Amino acid sequence: MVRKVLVAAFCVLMLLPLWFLFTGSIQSIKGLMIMPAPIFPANPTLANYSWLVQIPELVRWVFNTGFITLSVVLGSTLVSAMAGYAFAFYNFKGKKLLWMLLMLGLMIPSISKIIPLFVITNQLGIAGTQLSAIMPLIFAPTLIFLARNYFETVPKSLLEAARIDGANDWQILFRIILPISQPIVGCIALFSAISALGDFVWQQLQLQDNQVATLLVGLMRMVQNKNADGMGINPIGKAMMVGVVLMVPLLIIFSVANKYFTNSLSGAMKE
Amino acid sequence: MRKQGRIQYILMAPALLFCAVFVLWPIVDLLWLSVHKTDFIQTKFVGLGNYAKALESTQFWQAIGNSALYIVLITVGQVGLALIVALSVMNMKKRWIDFTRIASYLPALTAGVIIAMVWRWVFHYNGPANWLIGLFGAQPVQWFAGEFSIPIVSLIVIVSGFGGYLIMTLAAIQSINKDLFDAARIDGASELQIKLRIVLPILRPSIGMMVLLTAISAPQIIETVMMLAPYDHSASAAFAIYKEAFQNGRHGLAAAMAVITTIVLIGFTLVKGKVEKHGA
Repeated sequence: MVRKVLVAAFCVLMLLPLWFLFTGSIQSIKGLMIMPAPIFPANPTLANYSWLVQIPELVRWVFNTGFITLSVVLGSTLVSAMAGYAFAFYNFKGKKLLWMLLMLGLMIPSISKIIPLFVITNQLGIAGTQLSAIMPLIFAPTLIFLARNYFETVPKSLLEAARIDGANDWQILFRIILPISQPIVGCIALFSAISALGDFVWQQLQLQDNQVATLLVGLMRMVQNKNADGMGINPIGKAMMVGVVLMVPLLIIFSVANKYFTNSLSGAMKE
Repeated sequence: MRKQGRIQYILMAPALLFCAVFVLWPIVDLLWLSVHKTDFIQTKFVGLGNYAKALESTQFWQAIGNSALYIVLITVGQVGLALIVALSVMNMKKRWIDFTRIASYLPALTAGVIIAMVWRWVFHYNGPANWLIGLFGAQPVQWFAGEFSIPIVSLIVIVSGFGGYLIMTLAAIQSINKDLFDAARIDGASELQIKLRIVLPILRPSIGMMVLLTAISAPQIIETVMMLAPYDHSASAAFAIYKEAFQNGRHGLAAAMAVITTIVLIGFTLVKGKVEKHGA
Protein backbone atom coordinates (compact mmCIF):
# COMPACT_ATOMS: atom_id res chain seq x y z
CA MET A 1 0.00 0.00 0.00
CA VAL A 2 2.77 2.40 0.95
CA ARG A 3 4.44 1.55 -2.31
CA LYS A 4 1.30 2.29 -4.30
CA VAL A 5 1.04 5.71 -2.70
CA LEU A 6 4.70 6.42 -3.43
CA VAL A 7 4.42 5.33 -7.05
CA ALA A 8 1.24 7.33 -7.53
CA ALA A 9 2.88 10.39 -5.95
CA PHE A 10 5.87 9.95 -8.24
CA CYS A 11 3.67 9.78 -11.34
CA VAL A 12 1.82 12.91 -10.28
CA LEU A 13 5.15 14.66 -9.72
CA MET A 14 6.27 13.67 -13.22
CA LEU A 15 3.08 15.02 -14.76
CA LEU A 16 3.05 18.19 -12.67
CA PRO A 17 5.30 20.24 -15.00
CA LEU A 18 3.06 19.36 -17.94
CA TRP A 19 -0.02 20.30 -15.95
CA PHE A 20 1.51 23.63 -14.94
CA LEU A 21 2.46 24.22 -18.55
CA PHE A 22 -1.24 23.97 -19.34
CA THR A 23 -2.56 26.03 -16.41
CA GLY A 24 0.14 28.64 -17.01
CA SER A 25 -1.03 29.03 -20.58
CA ILE A 26 -4.49 30.14 -19.40
CA GLN A 27 -3.30 32.68 -16.86
CA SER A 28 -2.52 36.35 -16.81
CA ILE A 29 0.87 37.55 -15.64
CA LYS A 30 -0.68 38.34 -12.25
CA GLY A 31 -2.05 34.82 -11.95
CA LEU A 32 1.35 33.35 -12.79
CA MET A 33 2.95 35.19 -9.89
CA ILE A 34 0.52 33.88 -7.25
CA MET A 35 2.38 31.59 -4.88
CA PRO A 36 1.83 28.80 -4.08
CA ALA A 37 0.84 28.18 -7.69
CA PRO A 38 -2.80 26.99 -7.69
CA ILE A 39 -3.50 23.59 -9.22
CA PHE A 40 -6.68 25.06 -10.70
CA PRO A 41 -6.25 28.74 -11.61
CA ALA A 42 -8.90 31.04 -10.16
CA ASN A 43 -9.29 33.41 -13.11
CA PRO A 44 -8.45 31.53 -16.29
CA THR A 45 -8.11 33.63 -19.43
CA LEU A 46 -7.81 32.80 -23.10
CA ALA A 47 -5.87 36.00 -23.80
CA ASN A 48 -2.70 34.09 -24.68
CA TYR A 49 -4.56 31.91 -27.15
CA SER A 50 -6.28 34.83 -28.78
CA TRP A 51 -2.82 36.32 -29.34
CA LEU A 52 -1.89 33.04 -31.01
CA VAL A 53 -4.73 32.95 -33.51
CA GLN A 54 -3.94 36.52 -34.55
CA ILE A 55 -0.51 35.55 -35.86
CA PRO A 56 -0.86 36.01 -39.63
CA GLU A 57 1.52 33.15 -40.53
CA LEU A 58 -0.11 30.63 -38.20
CA VAL A 59 -1.93 28.60 -40.85
CA ARG A 60 1.18 28.62 -43.01
CA TRP A 61 3.25 27.23 -40.11
CA VAL A 62 0.74 24.49 -39.34
CA PHE A 63 0.78 23.47 -42.98
CA ASN A 64 4.60 23.54 -43.13
CA THR A 65 4.85 21.46 -39.96
CA GLY A 66 2.49 18.87 -41.38
CA PHE A 67 4.32 18.77 -44.69
CA ILE A 68 7.80 18.41 -43.18
CA THR A 69 6.71 15.82 -40.61
CA LEU A 70 4.83 13.73 -43.14
CA SER A 71 7.74 13.79 -45.59
CA VAL A 72 10.21 12.73 -42.91
CA VAL A 73 7.93 9.95 -41.66
CA LEU A 74 7.29 8.54 -45.14
CA GLY A 75 10.87 8.86 -46.33
CA SER A 76 12.49 7.62 -43.17
CA THR A 77 10.14 4.67 -42.68
CA LEU A 78 10.59 3.54 -46.27
CA VAL A 79 14.39 3.92 -46.29
CA SER A 80 14.77 2.21 -42.89
CA ALA A 81 12.42 -0.66 -43.73
CA MET A 82 14.15 -1.36 -47.06
CA ALA A 83 17.63 -1.32 -45.56
CA GLY A 84 16.53 -3.35 -42.53
CA TYR A 85 14.96 -5.92 -44.85
CA ALA A 86 18.14 -6.21 -46.92
CA PHE A 87 20.29 -6.79 -43.85
CA ALA A 88 17.86 -9.20 -42.19
CA PHE A 89 17.15 -11.48 -45.15
CA TYR A 90 20.13 -11.47 -47.50
CA ASN A 91 23.71 -12.61 -47.33
CA PHE A 92 26.10 -10.72 -49.53
CA LYS A 93 29.66 -9.62 -49.87
CA GLY A 94 30.70 -6.79 -47.60
CA LYS A 95 27.59 -7.07 -45.43
CA LYS A 96 29.45 -6.43 -42.18
CA LEU A 97 31.36 -3.50 -43.57
CA LEU A 98 28.28 -1.84 -45.03
CA TRP A 99 26.43 -2.32 -41.75
CA MET A 100 29.24 -0.65 -39.83
CA LEU A 101 29.22 2.18 -42.35
CA LEU A 102 25.49 2.74 -41.82
CA MET A 103 25.86 2.61 -38.04
CA LEU A 104 28.78 5.06 -38.10
CA GLY A 105 26.21 7.86 -37.91
CA LEU A 106 25.41 6.81 -34.34
CA MET A 107 28.94 7.73 -33.24
CA ILE A 108 28.86 11.27 -34.59
CA PRO A 109 27.28 13.84 -32.26
CA SER A 110 24.64 15.90 -34.01
CA ILE A 111 26.43 19.15 -33.20
CA SER A 112 29.41 17.89 -35.25
CA LYS A 113 27.13 17.37 -38.23
CA ILE A 114 25.36 20.70 -38.00
CA ILE A 115 28.33 22.90 -38.93
CA PRO A 116 29.25 21.00 -42.12
CA LEU A 117 25.59 20.42 -42.99
CA PHE A 118 25.23 24.17 -43.03
CA VAL A 119 27.84 24.21 -45.82
CA ILE A 120 26.48 21.14 -47.58
CA THR A 121 22.88 22.34 -47.83
CA ASN A 122 24.32 25.43 -49.45
CA GLN A 123 26.23 23.40 -51.99
CA LEU A 124 23.17 21.27 -52.72
CA GLY A 125 21.19 24.46 -53.26
CA ILE A 126 18.56 23.57 -50.67
CA ALA A 127 19.70 25.91 -47.88
CA GLY A 128 16.81 27.69 -46.20
CA THR A 129 14.16 25.58 -47.89
CA GLN A 130 11.94 22.95 -46.33
CA LEU A 131 13.98 20.27 -48.09
CA SER A 132 16.91 21.22 -45.86
CA ALA A 133 14.76 20.44 -42.82
CA ILE A 134 13.55 17.13 -44.29
CA MET A 135 16.57 15.51 -45.95
CA PRO A 136 19.01 15.15 -43.02
CA LEU A 137 16.34 13.35 -40.97
CA ILE A 138 15.50 10.70 -43.56
CA PHE A 139 18.55 8.61 -42.73
CA ALA A 140 18.39 7.44 -39.10
CA PRO A 141 20.68 4.55 -38.07
CA THR A 142 18.63 3.77 -34.95
CA LEU A 143 15.55 3.14 -37.06
CA ILE A 144 17.39 0.87 -39.49
CA PHE A 145 18.71 -0.99 -36.45
CA LEU A 146 15.20 -1.39 -35.01
CA ALA A 147 13.84 -2.56 -38.37
CA ARG A 148 16.58 -5.15 -38.90
CA ASN A 149 16.22 -6.57 -35.40
CA TYR A 150 12.50 -6.95 -35.78
CA PHE A 151 12.67 -8.48 -39.24
CA GLU A 152 15.17 -11.04 -38.00
CA THR A 153 12.46 -12.47 -35.76
CA VAL A 154 10.20 -13.15 -38.77
CA PRO A 155 10.35 -16.90 -39.54
CA LYS A 156 12.28 -17.59 -42.72
CA SER A 157 9.85 -20.39 -43.63
CA LEU A 158 7.23 -17.74 -44.27
CA LEU A 159 9.41 -16.20 -46.97
CA GLU A 160 10.22 -19.53 -48.56
CA ALA A 161 6.52 -20.35 -48.74
CA ALA A 162 5.77 -17.02 -50.39
CA ARG A 163 8.60 -17.53 -52.84
CA ILE A 164 7.34 -20.97 -53.81
CA ASP A 165 3.96 -19.37 -54.45
CA GLY A 166 5.74 -17.13 -56.95
CA ALA A 167 5.99 -13.85 -55.04
CA ASN A 168 8.99 -11.69 -55.95
CA ASP A 169 11.16 -9.86 -53.42
CA TRP A 170 9.26 -6.58 -53.61
CA GLN A 171 5.93 -8.29 -53.16
CA ILE A 172 7.33 -10.13 -50.15
CA LEU A 173 8.52 -6.87 -48.58
CA PHE A 174 5.39 -4.81 -49.19
CA ARG A 175 2.68 -7.49 -49.03
CA ILE A 176 4.02 -9.79 -46.31
CA ILE A 177 6.85 -8.35 -44.24
CA LEU A 178 5.57 -4.81 -43.75
CA PRO A 179 2.00 -5.82 -42.90
CA ILE A 180 3.07 -8.38 -40.31
CA SER A 181 5.66 -5.94 -38.96
CA GLN A 182 3.11 -3.31 -38.07
CA PRO A 183 4.42 -2.80 -34.50
CA ILE A 184 7.90 -1.88 -35.68
CA VAL A 185 6.67 0.19 -38.60
CA GLY A 186 4.43 2.10 -36.19
CA CYS A 187 7.31 2.56 -33.82
CA ILE A 188 9.65 3.80 -36.56
CA ALA A 189 7.00 6.21 -37.82
CA LEU A 190 6.49 7.50 -34.27
CA PHE A 191 10.20 8.04 -33.72
CA SER A 192 10.70 9.84 -37.00
CA ALA A 193 7.67 12.04 -36.35
CA ILE A 194 9.11 12.96 -32.95
CA SER A 195 12.47 13.76 -34.53
CA ALA A 196 10.86 15.98 -37.17
CA LEU A 197 8.62 17.80 -34.69
CA GLY A 198 11.43 18.42 -32.21
CA ASP A 199 14.39 19.24 -34.45
CA PHE A 200 14.66 22.76 -33.11
CA VAL A 201 18.35 23.61 -33.40
CA TRP A 202 18.70 22.67 -37.05
CA GLN A 203 15.32 24.04 -38.14
CA GLN A 204 15.86 27.45 -36.59
CA LEU A 205 19.22 27.70 -38.40
CA GLN A 206 17.71 26.74 -41.74
CA LEU A 207 14.14 28.03 -41.79
CA GLN A 208 14.98 31.72 -41.40
CA ASP A 209 12.17 32.88 -43.65
CA ASN A 210 8.81 33.07 -41.87
CA GLN A 211 7.07 31.66 -44.93
CA VAL A 212 8.87 28.30 -44.69
CA ALA A 213 9.03 28.13 -40.87
CA THR A 214 7.40 25.37 -38.85
CA LEU A 215 5.21 25.93 -35.81
CA LEU A 216 8.16 25.05 -33.58
CA VAL A 217 10.55 27.53 -35.17
CA GLY A 218 8.02 30.29 -35.84
CA LEU A 219 6.50 30.31 -32.39
CA MET A 220 9.76 29.83 -30.51
CA ARG A 221 11.28 32.69 -32.46
CA MET A 222 8.49 34.97 -31.26
CA VAL A 223 8.84 33.73 -27.69
CA GLN A 224 12.61 34.15 -27.65
CA ASN A 225 12.45 37.67 -28.97
CA LYS A 226 10.90 39.36 -25.96
CA ASN A 227 10.45 42.63 -27.83
CA ALA A 228 8.53 41.02 -30.67
CA ASP A 229 5.19 42.51 -31.57
CA GLY A 230 2.44 41.60 -29.17
CA MET A 231 4.44 39.70 -26.54
CA GLY A 232 3.04 42.38 -24.25
CA ILE A 233 3.18 42.13 -20.49
CA ASN A 234 2.76 38.36 -20.26
CA PRO A 235 5.68 36.77 -22.13
CA ILE A 236 5.80 33.85 -19.66
CA GLY A 237 2.17 32.91 -20.16
CA LYS A 238 2.55 33.19 -23.93
CA ALA A 239 5.65 31.01 -23.85
CA MET A 240 3.76 28.36 -21.89
CA MET A 241 0.84 28.57 -24.28
CA VAL A 242 3.28 27.99 -27.14
CA GLY A 243 4.56 24.93 -25.27
CA VAL A 244 1.02 23.56 -24.99
CA VAL A 245 0.33 24.17 -28.69
CA LEU A 246 3.55 22.44 -29.72
CA MET A 247 2.72 19.42 -27.56
CA VAL A 248 -0.60 18.79 -29.26
CA PRO A 249 0.72 17.04 -32.39
CA LEU A 250 3.07 14.93 -30.25
CA LEU A 251 0.25 13.83 -27.97
CA ILE A 252 -1.95 12.90 -30.91
CA ILE A 253 0.79 10.86 -32.54
CA PHE A 254 1.74 9.25 -29.26
CA SER A 255 -1.78 8.17 -28.39
CA VAL A 256 -2.15 6.60 -31.84
CA ALA A 257 1.20 4.79 -31.83
CA ASN A 258 1.55 4.02 -28.12
CA LYS A 259 0.43 0.41 -28.45
CA TYR A 260 3.31 -0.40 -30.82
CA PHE A 261 5.80 1.11 -28.55
CA THR A 262 6.73 -1.23 -25.75
CA ASN A 263 6.75 -4.44 -27.75
CA SER A 264 9.15 -3.25 -30.36
CA LEU A 265 11.49 -1.66 -27.82
CA SER A 266 11.68 -4.81 -25.76
CA GLY A 267 12.63 -6.62 -28.95
CA ALA A 268 15.41 -4.17 -29.58
CA MET A 269 16.88 -4.52 -26.10
CA LYS A 270 17.46 -8.23 -26.52
CA GLU A 271 20.33 -7.58 -28.93
CA MET B 1 18.87 -16.54 -46.91
CA ARG B 2 19.57 -16.07 -50.59
CA LYS B 3 22.91 -15.27 -52.07
CA GLN B 4 22.15 -14.65 -55.72
CA GLY B 5 20.56 -11.54 -57.12
CA ARG B 6 21.25 -7.88 -56.77
CA ILE B 7 18.06 -6.81 -55.10
CA GLN B 8 19.67 -6.32 -51.70
CA TYR B 9 21.82 -3.55 -53.15
CA ILE B 10 18.78 -1.81 -54.56
CA LEU B 11 17.09 -2.09 -51.17
CA MET B 12 20.10 -0.58 -49.43
CA ALA B 13 20.79 2.08 -52.04
CA PRO B 14 18.62 4.86 -50.56
CA ALA B 15 20.02 4.34 -47.06
CA LEU B 16 23.60 4.29 -48.37
CA LEU B 17 23.03 7.37 -50.49
CA PHE B 18 21.58 9.37 -47.59
CA CYS B 19 24.32 8.06 -45.30
CA ALA B 20 26.95 9.24 -47.78
CA VAL B 21 25.47 12.72 -48.16
CA PHE B 22 24.38 13.35 -44.58
CA VAL B 23 26.98 11.45 -42.53
CA LEU B 24 30.15 10.76 -44.52
CA TRP B 25 30.28 14.04 -46.39
CA PRO B 26 29.74 16.04 -43.16
CA ILE B 27 32.58 14.13 -41.48
CA VAL B 28 34.96 14.94 -44.34
CA ASP B 29 33.74 18.52 -44.44
CA LEU B 30 34.11 18.91 -40.69
CA LEU B 31 37.73 17.73 -40.84
CA TRP B 32 38.38 20.09 -43.76
CA LEU B 33 36.78 23.03 -41.95
CA SER B 34 38.79 22.31 -38.82
CA VAL B 35 42.07 23.07 -40.57
CA HIS B 36 40.81 26.22 -42.30
CA LYS B 37 39.89 29.69 -41.27
CA THR B 38 36.82 30.72 -43.18
CA ASP B 39 33.92 33.12 -43.29
CA PHE B 40 32.65 31.36 -46.44
CA ILE B 41 33.94 34.20 -48.58
CA GLN B 42 37.64 33.99 -47.89
CA THR B 43 39.20 30.72 -46.85
CA LYS B 44 42.71 30.17 -45.56
CA PHE B 45 44.53 26.97 -44.63
CA VAL B 46 45.74 27.22 -41.03
CA GLY B 47 46.91 23.68 -40.34
CA LEU B 48 46.41 22.72 -36.73
CA GLY B 49 45.97 26.35 -35.71
CA ASN B 50 42.29 25.93 -34.87
CA TYR B 51 43.07 22.96 -32.65
CA ALA B 52 45.75 24.95 -30.83
CA LYS B 53 43.29 27.81 -30.39
CA ALA B 54 40.58 25.46 -29.13
CA LEU B 55 42.93 23.99 -26.55
CA GLU B 56 43.96 27.47 -25.43
CA SER B 57 40.39 28.70 -25.19
CA THR B 58 39.25 29.06 -21.59
CA GLN B 59 35.65 28.93 -22.78
CA PHE B 60 36.17 25.55 -24.41
CA TRP B 61 37.88 24.16 -21.30
CA GLN B 62 35.08 25.52 -19.19
CA ALA B 63 32.55 23.76 -21.44
CA ILE B 64 34.56 20.53 -21.16
CA GLY B 65 34.59 20.85 -17.37
CA ASN B 66 30.86 21.62 -17.35
CA SER B 67 30.26 18.61 -19.58
CA ALA B 68 32.12 16.36 -17.14
CA LEU B 69 29.85 17.61 -14.38
CA TYR B 70 26.77 17.13 -16.59
CA ILE B 71 27.90 13.58 -17.35
CA VAL B 72 28.24 12.68 -13.67
CA LEU B 73 24.99 14.32 -12.55
CA ILE B 74 22.84 13.19 -15.44
CA THR B 75 24.18 9.64 -15.64
CA VAL B 76 23.76 9.00 -11.92
CA GLY B 77 20.37 10.72 -11.84
CA GLN B 78 18.88 9.30 -14.99
CA VAL B 79 20.04 5.69 -14.76
CA GLY B 80 19.58 5.65 -10.99
CA LEU B 81 16.04 6.96 -11.21
CA ALA B 82 15.15 4.53 -13.99
CA LEU B 83 16.44 1.60 -11.90
CA ILE B 84 14.74 2.69 -8.68
CA VAL B 85 11.39 3.24 -10.38
CA ALA B 86 11.61 0.06 -12.45
CA LEU B 87 12.50 -2.09 -9.43
CA SER B 88 9.71 -0.49 -7.40
CA VAL B 89 6.97 -1.17 -9.93
CA MET B 90 8.16 -4.46 -11.44
CA ASN B 91 5.93 -6.65 -9.27
CA MET B 92 2.89 -4.40 -9.40
CA LYS B 93 -0.17 -4.92 -11.59
CA LYS B 94 0.21 -4.24 -15.29
CA ARG B 95 -2.09 -1.23 -14.98
CA TRP B 96 0.34 0.42 -12.57
CA ILE B 97 3.37 -0.36 -14.68
CA ASP B 98 1.70 1.05 -17.79
CA PHE B 99 0.65 4.20 -15.99
CA THR B 100 4.11 4.80 -14.56
CA ARG B 101 5.62 4.21 -17.97
CA ILE B 102 3.37 6.73 -19.69
CA ALA B 103 3.66 9.34 -16.92
CA SER B 104 7.44 9.09 -17.14
CA TYR B 105 7.59 9.03 -20.90
CA LEU B 106 5.33 11.98 -21.66
CA PRO B 107 7.94 14.60 -20.69
CA ALA B 108 10.53 12.68 -22.72
CA LEU B 109 8.31 12.81 -25.76
CA THR B 110 8.25 16.58 -25.65
CA ALA B 111 11.11 18.46 -27.25
CA GLY B 112 13.52 20.12 -24.84
CA VAL B 113 12.62 23.62 -26.00
CA ILE B 114 8.93 23.07 -25.30
CA ILE B 115 9.35 21.70 -21.81
CA ALA B 116 11.85 24.48 -21.08
CA MET B 117 8.94 26.93 -21.21
CA VAL B 118 7.49 25.61 -17.96
CA TRP B 119 10.87 25.39 -16.24
CA ARG B 120 11.55 28.98 -17.13
CA TRP B 121 8.53 29.87 -15.00
CA VAL B 122 9.41 27.42 -12.21
CA PHE B 123 12.85 29.01 -11.80
CA HIS B 124 11.70 32.55 -12.48
CA TYR B 125 12.78 35.04 -9.81
CA ASN B 126 9.16 35.29 -8.64
CA GLY B 127 8.42 31.65 -9.41
CA PRO B 128 7.62 28.49 -7.42
CA ALA B 129 11.25 27.48 -6.73
CA ASN B 130 12.00 30.71 -4.91
CA TRP B 131 8.64 30.55 -3.13
CA LEU B 132 9.52 27.05 -1.92
CA ILE B 133 12.92 27.98 -0.50
CA GLY B 134 11.32 31.12 0.93
CA LEU B 135 9.17 28.87 3.14
CA PHE B 136 12.40 27.81 4.81
CA GLY B 137 13.48 31.39 5.20
CA ALA B 138 15.98 31.48 2.35
CA GLN B 139 16.49 34.55 0.17
CA PRO B 140 15.31 34.34 -3.46
CA VAL B 141 17.97 33.21 -5.94
CA GLN B 142 18.75 34.03 -9.57
CA TRP B 143 18.81 30.34 -10.40
CA PHE B 144 20.63 30.42 -13.72
CA ALA B 145 23.12 33.14 -12.86
CA GLY B 146 25.55 31.09 -10.80
CA GLU B 147 26.58 27.75 -9.44
CA PHE B 148 23.00 26.41 -9.39
CA SER B 149 22.64 26.46 -13.15
CA ILE B 150 24.39 23.16 -13.92
CA PRO B 151 22.53 21.13 -11.26
CA ILE B 152 19.23 22.65 -12.37
CA VAL B 153 19.82 22.05 -16.07
CA SER B 154 20.81 18.48 -15.13
CA LEU B 155 17.64 18.06 -13.11
CA ILE B 156 15.53 19.22 -16.05
CA VAL B 157 17.34 16.88 -18.44
CA ILE B 158 16.93 13.98 -16.00
CA VAL B 159 13.21 14.57 -15.50
CA SER B 160 12.55 14.93 -19.20
CA GLY B 161 14.85 12.15 -20.35
CA PHE B 162 14.59 9.27 -17.95
CA GLY B 163 11.30 7.92 -19.33
CA GLY B 164 13.07 6.31 -22.26
CA TYR B 165 15.50 4.60 -19.90
CA LEU B 166 12.64 3.41 -17.71
CA ILE B 167 11.07 1.73 -20.74
CA MET B 168 14.36 0.02 -21.57
CA THR B 169 14.85 -1.16 -17.97
CA LEU B 170 11.29 -2.49 -17.69
CA ALA B 171 11.71 -4.30 -21.00
CA ALA B 172 14.93 -5.89 -19.79
CA ILE B 173 13.28 -6.96 -16.53
CA GLN B 174 10.37 -8.48 -18.44
CA SER B 175 12.71 -10.69 -20.40
CA ILE B 176 14.10 -12.29 -17.20
CA ASN B 177 12.91 -15.84 -16.66
CA LYS B 178 10.37 -15.70 -13.81
CA ASP B 179 11.34 -19.20 -12.60
CA LEU B 180 14.46 -17.63 -11.14
CA PHE B 181 12.33 -15.54 -8.78
CA ASP B 182 10.19 -18.50 -7.74
CA ALA B 183 13.25 -20.59 -6.99
CA ALA B 184 14.70 -17.78 -4.88
CA ARG B 185 11.40 -17.36 -3.03
CA ILE B 186 11.31 -21.06 -2.18
CA ASP B 187 14.83 -20.67 -0.81
CA GLY B 188 13.46 -17.96 1.46
CA ALA B 189 14.77 -14.83 -0.22
CA SER B 190 12.87 -11.60 0.47
CA GLU B 191 11.53 -9.45 -2.37
CA LEU B 192 14.23 -6.86 -1.73
CA GLN B 193 16.93 -9.53 -1.83
CA ILE B 194 15.55 -10.83 -5.12
CA LYS B 195 15.72 -7.36 -6.60
CA LEU B 196 19.21 -6.56 -5.37
CA ARG B 197 20.85 -9.97 -5.71
CA ILE B 198 19.12 -11.38 -8.79
CA VAL B 199 17.55 -8.65 -10.90
CA LEU B 200 20.31 -6.03 -10.61
CA PRO B 201 23.16 -8.39 -11.60
CA ILE B 202 21.13 -9.66 -14.57
CA LEU B 203 20.50 -6.08 -15.64
CA ARG B 204 24.21 -5.26 -15.69
CA PRO B 205 24.59 -5.27 -19.48
CA SER B 206 21.52 -3.02 -19.83
CA ILE B 207 22.85 -0.70 -17.13
CA GLY B 208 26.20 -0.50 -18.92
CA MET B 209 24.40 0.37 -22.14
CA MET B 210 22.33 3.09 -20.45
CA VAL B 211 25.36 4.59 -18.72
CA LEU B 212 27.13 4.78 -22.07
CA LEU B 213 24.11 6.36 -23.78
CA THR B 214 23.69 9.02 -21.09
CA ALA B 215 27.41 9.71 -20.84
CA ILE B 216 27.50 10.33 -24.59
CA SER B 217 24.37 12.47 -24.66
CA ALA B 218 25.17 14.65 -21.62
CA PRO B 219 27.85 16.80 -23.32
CA GLN B 220 25.42 17.15 -26.23
CA ILE B 221 22.57 18.77 -24.32
CA ILE B 222 21.91 22.00 -26.10
CA GLU B 223 18.23 23.01 -26.16
CA THR B 224 17.79 23.29 -22.40
CA VAL B 225 21.03 25.28 -22.10
CA MET B 226 20.06 27.49 -25.03
CA MET B 227 16.64 28.23 -23.63
CA LEU B 228 17.42 28.64 -19.93
CA ALA B 229 21.11 29.21 -19.27
CA PRO B 230 22.99 30.29 -22.39
CA TYR B 231 26.07 31.37 -20.43
CA ASP B 232 29.69 30.28 -20.34
CA HIS B 233 29.36 28.98 -16.79
CA SER B 234 26.66 26.52 -17.82
CA ALA B 235 27.56 25.78 -21.47
CA SER B 236 27.77 22.15 -22.51
CA ALA B 237 30.33 21.18 -25.14
CA ALA B 238 27.62 21.22 -27.79
CA PHE B 239 26.41 24.67 -26.82
CA ALA B 240 29.96 26.08 -26.78
CA ILE B 241 30.51 24.72 -30.30
CA TYR B 242 27.16 26.07 -31.47
CA LYS B 243 27.93 29.49 -30.06
CA GLU B 244 31.40 29.60 -31.62
CA ALA B 245 30.02 28.65 -35.05
CA PHE B 246 26.73 30.47 -35.30
CA GLN B 247 27.05 33.42 -32.94
CA ASN B 248 30.74 34.25 -33.21
CA GLY B 249 30.96 33.02 -36.81
CA ARG B 250 34.25 31.17 -36.28
CA HIS B 251 33.35 27.98 -38.13
CA GLY B 252 36.89 26.66 -38.37
CA LEU B 253 37.50 26.93 -34.64
CA ALA B 254 34.07 25.46 -33.90
CA ALA B 255 34.83 22.56 -36.25
CA ALA B 256 38.09 21.85 -34.41
CA MET B 257 36.21 21.88 -31.11
CA ALA B 258 33.63 19.53 -32.60
CA VAL B 259 36.32 17.13 -33.80
CA ILE B 260 37.92 17.03 -30.35
CA THR B 261 34.53 16.44 -28.68
CA THR B 262 33.62 13.73 -31.16
CA ILE B 263 36.89 11.88 -30.59
CA VAL B 264 36.39 11.99 -26.81
CA LEU B 265 32.83 10.66 -27.15
CA ILE B 266 33.88 7.86 -29.50
CA GLY B 267 36.58 7.13 -26.91
CA PHE B 268 33.85 6.44 -24.33
CA THR B 269 32.35 3.77 -26.57
CA LEU B 270 35.71 2.12 -27.14
CA VAL B 271 36.59 2.18 -23.44
CA LYS B 272 33.27 0.57 -22.61
CA GLY B 273 33.93 -2.18 -25.16
CA LYS B 274 37.36 -2.81 -23.58
CA VAL B 275 35.96 -2.90 -20.06
CA GLU B 276 33.32 -5.41 -21.13
CA LYS B 277 35.86 -7.68 -22.76
CA HIS B 278 38.20 -7.72 -19.77
CA GLY B 279 35.66 -7.27 -17.01
CA ALA B 280 34.24 -10.16 -15.02
